[in-house]
Amino acid sequence: MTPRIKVDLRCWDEEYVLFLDPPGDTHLLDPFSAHLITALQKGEAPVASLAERVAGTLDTWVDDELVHHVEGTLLSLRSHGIVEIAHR
Amino acid sequence: MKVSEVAEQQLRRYLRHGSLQLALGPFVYRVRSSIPEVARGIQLLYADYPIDPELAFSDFHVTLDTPRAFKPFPLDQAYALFEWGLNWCVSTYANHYLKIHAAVVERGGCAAILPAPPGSGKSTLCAGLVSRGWRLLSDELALVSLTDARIVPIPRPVSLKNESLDVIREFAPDAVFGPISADTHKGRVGHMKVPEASVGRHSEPARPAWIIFPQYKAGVPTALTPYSRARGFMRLAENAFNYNLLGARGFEALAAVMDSCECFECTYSDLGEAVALFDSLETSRTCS
Repeated sequence: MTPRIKVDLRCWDEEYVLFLDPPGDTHLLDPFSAHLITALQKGEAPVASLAERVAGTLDTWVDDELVHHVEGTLLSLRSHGIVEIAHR
Repeated sequence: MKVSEVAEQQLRRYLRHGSLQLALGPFVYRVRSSIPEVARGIQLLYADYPIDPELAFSDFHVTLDTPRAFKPFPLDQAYALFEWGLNWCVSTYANHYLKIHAAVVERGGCAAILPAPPGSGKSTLCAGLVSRGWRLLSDELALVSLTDARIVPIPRPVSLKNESLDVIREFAPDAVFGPISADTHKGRVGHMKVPEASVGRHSEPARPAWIIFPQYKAGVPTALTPYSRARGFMRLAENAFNYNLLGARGFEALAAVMDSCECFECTYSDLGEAVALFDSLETSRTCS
């Protein structure tokens, strides 16, 4: 996530609303996407590290399924302009 | 001084000279018009509202004489145009509030916000509730304070269209209606007078406790179904006039509203049943 963007994430009834300022966009997020955003707020990281952060939040372990889920969710978040993915 | 305390000739004089200053909730409107129907409508529907011809400042200046800002309307739609003009002033300029297209009613200090697009039965339900003891904060605009997320009242006559006029006349035989405008772009339009008790509390904000998305559908059972607050947030933002304009302040105000509210969808086909359902609403929160 771009450091200059202020992120406000609120939760009601197991669903999340994300506000990004700028650009002032509002998004409805499922819990997994919200956990991934929270993991990204700790700083940019490779997919494997993000999966570890999310696993810690969800009290689960990292496996291929979780890593794929993180990758897929990142792509979805990127398509909505919420995250940027750096290829190194 | 109230409108009802001014003689008809004096009221018309104020209107002709543009010195009628109506205090409606947080706003003062200075109204100028020489159209008799507008004078008659104000005398009937705004009888209980305070006016002060000596006030030095008005928030909005509304003139209904020569059509300039709006396309020409037939003379018999003048009163409806007056009401639409007052809506337009607030929805366009009052950006120190988060403004949501919604009716708001209150009971026991707790406000119910009813956001809905035209044709959903919002105003009919609102008129039904108000005629059975709920306080009217607004039929059209929920004004959310950006400082404490309470709803600021702007209780103006309830706009009803077509069959809704007949429904409310039957449901509330004592309801008072102003001039009826036929063949407007919305069909037949009339405005129901606000109960004096609601007008008397026009400067008393209320804490929102419920967000209820109403939908009239012929033949459906009356039901109140819990609805996700996060999804409710998104729908409220879509129904807001200036959510995007306010940026982070709008988000925070709306989030504060959601924090204090339960969220429902309400389908109804019978107004009496819908009002009874609202009467049964309870909240565990303190709204004061």
